[in-house]
Amino acid sequence: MRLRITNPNNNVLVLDDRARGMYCVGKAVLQGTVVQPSGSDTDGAPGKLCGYSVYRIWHPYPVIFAFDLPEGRSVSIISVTQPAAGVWDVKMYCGGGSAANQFEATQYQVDVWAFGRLTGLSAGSKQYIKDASGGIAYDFLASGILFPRAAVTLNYVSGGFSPNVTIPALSRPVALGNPTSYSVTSELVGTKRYADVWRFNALARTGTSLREVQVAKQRYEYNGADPQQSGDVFTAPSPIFILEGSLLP
Amino acid sequence: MAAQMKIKSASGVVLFDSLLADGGVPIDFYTIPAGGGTFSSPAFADATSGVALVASGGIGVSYTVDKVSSPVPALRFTFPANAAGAIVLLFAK
Repeated sequence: MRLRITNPNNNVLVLDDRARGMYCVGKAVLQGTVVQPSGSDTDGAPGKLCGYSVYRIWHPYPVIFAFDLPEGRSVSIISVTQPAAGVWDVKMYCGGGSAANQFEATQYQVDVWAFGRLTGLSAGSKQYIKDASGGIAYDFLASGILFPRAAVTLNYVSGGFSPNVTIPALSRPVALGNPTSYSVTSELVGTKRYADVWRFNALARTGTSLREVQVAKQRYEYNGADPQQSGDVFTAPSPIFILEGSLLP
Repeated sequence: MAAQMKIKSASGVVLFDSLLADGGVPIDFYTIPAGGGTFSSPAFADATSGVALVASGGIGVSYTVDKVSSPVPALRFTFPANAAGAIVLLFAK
């Protein structure tokens, strides 16, 4: 017998005993302090660098990070690293306030949570199901079951911005997944003078509207007969799940 | 009448409700190998589609999802070479 539940409101499979349920591992902890933008975007390399902050959590299995979507901020995951077995560091971008050349003026702390597989059944749980290989598909007494309230796709358009998509009215919308588009370009800024610019996409929310915005990660200028970068622009739709943050620790 | 799964905390807070859930069910994490790769899930051959969420951040990821019948029926995700190194979490819908 197979346990399989589809939401009749959207015809999406939402529970299945062949799945591997994901649970909130916890809230990642800020490492050090928030790093503000630095340098000048008209200087030579490294020029100007965007700000960031790093958060850490422990889990023996792979994780995926969810992050808060405070209004007035642009938020994205810059990178995820594993400095030691079971240790996961996520480097976050949470910027606000305009600055020249698509940088943002200020970097902010942001709440980040990790989701991953269970390490075992919760204490005394008898309300669980296992998959065919004996792995825990779901433990219904474990806390923090992944509960996406919406699945949206943000489509990149020219200039790096996406059209707005509507998300549910939640107490505290949180995003799972990450924008995927980026660009590395060389731009002529004068006679035989170039600017190399690294940009990536972040999520920006206003009420129940969500979109991708493009922000600068690094920019520097140099003199030369030819640009140093050949240009690398990657664009793709970004699937994002929306969670209710008030249910997270 | 559709089956419904609802989980509440001891204080009555709804922690999961299948009538409100979206997105699909998690299949597994997948690290995209050098040169790109495919992930096939026979367990979800009857799913309508799939979604891959980027877990690693900062790496461009594009993909396609289809259903194949050979060698066994499966839901298949295909990732190109330029997504190598990215970690994604796969969902069946």
